Amino acid sequence: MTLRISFLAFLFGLFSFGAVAQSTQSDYEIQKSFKKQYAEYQERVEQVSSPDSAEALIASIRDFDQEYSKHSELLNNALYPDTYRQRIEELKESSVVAMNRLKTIKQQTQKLDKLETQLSSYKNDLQQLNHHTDSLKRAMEESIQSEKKLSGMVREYRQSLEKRDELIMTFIDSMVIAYEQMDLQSLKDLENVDRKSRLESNGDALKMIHDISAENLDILQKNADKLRLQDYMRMADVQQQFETMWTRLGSKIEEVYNGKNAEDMANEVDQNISKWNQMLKQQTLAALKDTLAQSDIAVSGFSTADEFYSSLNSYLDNHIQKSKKNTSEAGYSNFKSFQKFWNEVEVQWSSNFVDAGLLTKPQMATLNEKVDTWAENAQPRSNNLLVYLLGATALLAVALGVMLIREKKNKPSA
Amino acid sequence: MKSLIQTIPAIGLIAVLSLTGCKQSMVISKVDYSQSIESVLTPNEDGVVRDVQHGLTFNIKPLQYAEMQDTSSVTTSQVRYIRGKEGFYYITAPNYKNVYVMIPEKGRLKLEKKLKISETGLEQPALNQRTSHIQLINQSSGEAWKLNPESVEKQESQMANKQEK
Repeated sequence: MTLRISFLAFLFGLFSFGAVAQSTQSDYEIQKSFKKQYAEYQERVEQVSSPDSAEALIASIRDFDQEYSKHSELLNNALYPDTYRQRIEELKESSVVAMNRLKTIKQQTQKLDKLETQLSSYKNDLQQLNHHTDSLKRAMEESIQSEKKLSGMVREYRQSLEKRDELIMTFIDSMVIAYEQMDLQSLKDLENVDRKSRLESNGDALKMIHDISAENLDILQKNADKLRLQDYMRMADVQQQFETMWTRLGSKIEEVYNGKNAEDMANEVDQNISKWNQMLKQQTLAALKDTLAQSDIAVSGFSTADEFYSSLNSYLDNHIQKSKKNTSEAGYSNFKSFQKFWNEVEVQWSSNFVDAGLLTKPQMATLNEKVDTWAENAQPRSNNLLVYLLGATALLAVALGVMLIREKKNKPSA
Repeated sequence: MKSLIQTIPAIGLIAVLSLTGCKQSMVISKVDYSQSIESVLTPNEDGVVRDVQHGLTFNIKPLQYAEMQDTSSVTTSQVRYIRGKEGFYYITAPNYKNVYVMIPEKGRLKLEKKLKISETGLEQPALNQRTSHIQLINQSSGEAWKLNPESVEKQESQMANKQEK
């Protein structure tokens, strides 16, 4: 019994002390503790690194509010000119913003992981193709004496390059789809928040883009003799798409890059694209010269896009003038050759010509008009006048014959 | 002569009235000096505390002397003060036995009342502004006192709680 009373007395004492301690708080300590905890929460909001921990933080801030809202009047004085409510709302808002940001980052991380897998796959495919083209090239060098074998190999080599370009185009599409949905700021945040895991990931878009641009440049430099105009036209298309992708997404791709030399690598990509563009233009002009020569289209020499336009222009003017004066089978044959070349340009490659800066749209239109004019005058004219005279003579003879027969019939018999 | 005798007092009266009028100073009444949260300050080696927020600087050595009869060195690491509604400063420090009620005067603080709190001193004192008074608490024990410029009264815990509300 005595023990029970002592225990109850102890409990009562404990409770009373708790009540006393609770009722006697220092205002100074309350506001100091609030300010300290508030600063800690602000720091936690800035440093929070996952949506789950952000959600936990939001709940904790709610509890923090509940704990201090009963001191709001006191804290209004302590926080003047701000108010307790303002400060709490700011904290809540920033924690929600942080959570949303982390959710976006998580989504982007997932997208990036998917992209990394795709990249690895592209990388493997590209390596295999490069390996294949390299062995083809070696084989071509070895079989230089057998012309027939060589020509088959060159064809296969060109097909292999075509496949490589197709793969690059698919890669570009993947890049565009993946990176366009991403926000640059979030990618920067992602680097800060999740740097460790980013560094552990496999494959890298920037490295791959860098390598593709360097390899393409290499292919252009080393294979000028094996490529034809249609190869260059396809390559120009790839180059345009590649450059557009890089211009639009380069900064994002650079941001995601894991390595230390991202800026240097991005600069090299810029330089490679610029050289690639320039070299492609020069070699396309050379291929055009060959194609025109093979088609017996004797234009004057050119080495720039402007000169190419001038050559075509003067060639057409010259032939239009000639055909207006005198048409001939040889002139018509020239026209046919040119028309075949020009139809291919107009139907298949007009956009490539314009995009590659070989011809502008107004220049294309001018040349089109001239080709039409030449078409009107190119066909050799037949000697129609003679046919008409012969026809008229025959008709006249028939008419005279009919008249004579009628006269004979009408004459009364003597 | 008679009129002169009558005129002089009248002029004197007018002059006195006018001078009285000039001396009359403007008074703003119902001023509330209350400081919502106490200031907690650390004295420097000379015993000077500076409250930048409330624009008050003073030396605590006279208070230390009143408590310990010693000013050879500054032994107080923390000074807590709050200003009441009427404008009095309530000053104390950890382990002080008293709260000093000081009234501000031109360039000085004058002791209005020394409020005896404890024989042994409060380990962790704190001052709170309340509607009708200043509350002194000992944070280590939970004890509370109601302070006025003239008196001190120990509060029961529940009473202190109710008064808070």
